[in-house]
Amino acid sequence: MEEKQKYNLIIFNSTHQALAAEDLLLAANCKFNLVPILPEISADCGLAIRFQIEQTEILNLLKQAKIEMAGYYKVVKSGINKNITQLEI
Amino acid sequence: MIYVNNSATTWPKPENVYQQVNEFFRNSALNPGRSGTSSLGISPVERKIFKVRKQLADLIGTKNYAQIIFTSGATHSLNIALKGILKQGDHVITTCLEHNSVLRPLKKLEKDRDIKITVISFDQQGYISPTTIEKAITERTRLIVTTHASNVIGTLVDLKKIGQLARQHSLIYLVDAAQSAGVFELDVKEMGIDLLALAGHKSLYGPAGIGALYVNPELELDTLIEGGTGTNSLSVEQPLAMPDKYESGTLNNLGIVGLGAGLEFINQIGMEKIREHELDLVKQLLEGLQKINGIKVYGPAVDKLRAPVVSLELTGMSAAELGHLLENKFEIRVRSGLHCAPLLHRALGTEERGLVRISFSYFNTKKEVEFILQSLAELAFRLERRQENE
Repeated sequence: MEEKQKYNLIIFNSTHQALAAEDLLLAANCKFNLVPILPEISADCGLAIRFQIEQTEILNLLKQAKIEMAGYYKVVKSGINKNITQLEI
Repeated sequence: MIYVNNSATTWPKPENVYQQVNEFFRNSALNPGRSGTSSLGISPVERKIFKVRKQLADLIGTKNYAQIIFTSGATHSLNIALKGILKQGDHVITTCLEHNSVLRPLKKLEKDRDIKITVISFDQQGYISPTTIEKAITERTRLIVTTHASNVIGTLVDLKKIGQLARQHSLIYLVDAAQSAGVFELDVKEMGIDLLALAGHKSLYGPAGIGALYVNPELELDTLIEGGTGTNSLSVEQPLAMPDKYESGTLNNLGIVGLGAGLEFINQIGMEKIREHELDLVKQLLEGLQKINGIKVYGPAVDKLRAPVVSLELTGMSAAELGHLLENKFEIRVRSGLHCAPLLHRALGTEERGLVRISFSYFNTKKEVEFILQSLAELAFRLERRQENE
């Protein structure tokens, strides 16, 4: 069986908000990647941050800092298939 | 040439402003949010814009830097603020000190939306009394708009007191800081400012064509223009996310870079040091002017805190002629005329002849002030002789 890759994704609909999130998470020593939004979610040229599903503190940090988020997703990748579930912010 | 028209636009700019704009224009000036050159859709341009937004937020005492919108200048900022806030039949209180960038949009709204305008007059030295403002508040009052510093006579407005007043009466407070930012401390929270308009090319030492507006996140402010933001592109509705909501169209990224360099310069020298230097020059100028026959100075007394701008007249000579002589005989660049402040000149009774304005930046020197004083003394002496001979 193929190994599954899992991660969480928070997407932003403003470059400023994505950069503000990056700033905040770097200062808090969080591990994450700034990535483009998956085409399965939107074809728009927005940005997202990708992180491990265990890192639940990330959402709280962003909420506390009142960073505007456009969506929160869990992505499970199996080969070329992606299973994307929307999570509650 | 001696340049003392810094209230119009500061010149020269700090060397770093020229350098950074040049470097950025050649190497990085791609379209923010639409650069398309990296898989991320993010380039040094976005990062730079983000950084300068933060620098501006620091300057005005807010951590909420998404609430800073880039505009083409203070006039643009004031138009967004006034037209985005005032609705049919609203009442607004403003002052005689205001620039046309406040007065003209208000007059337009008077016609279009039937708003009512109360203009508060000033005392002999140009001060606005918060008590008079309070007395003008009615049930329909929605907004108070004042400048921070007069662009003609340099009088400072007590922002904190008026801000408190606005809070007490649940009014919105808009401040035009075009003449003060970079010289005087601003703190939107402490001063109770809801909307703050900034000019990039004056005492913030950036190029022309860039400005900013701070918007209190609790405000409902309508947009002045709508269009592409590079985000949320599938929707034909204007996005609500800050700051994109108010930043349609390609931003003036060169202006932003230059403004960032100007802000770095201010931090490097220190606002207090800049202010002290400019006010020293004002003091030297005012003291010298007192000794010249026929010169009349308007505005606050010598010992009062003021913005680094002095307006004067030479009795018996129009401002236009005095300005012309200073420029052509002595190569001193002042600004003569009405300085886009019609109500102020009417209140002073100088609307027919205008005034000559001398305004400093950090780059002016005591030696230059000395030369200005000598030149004015010579012109005053010659005028006196001419009048005696007539």
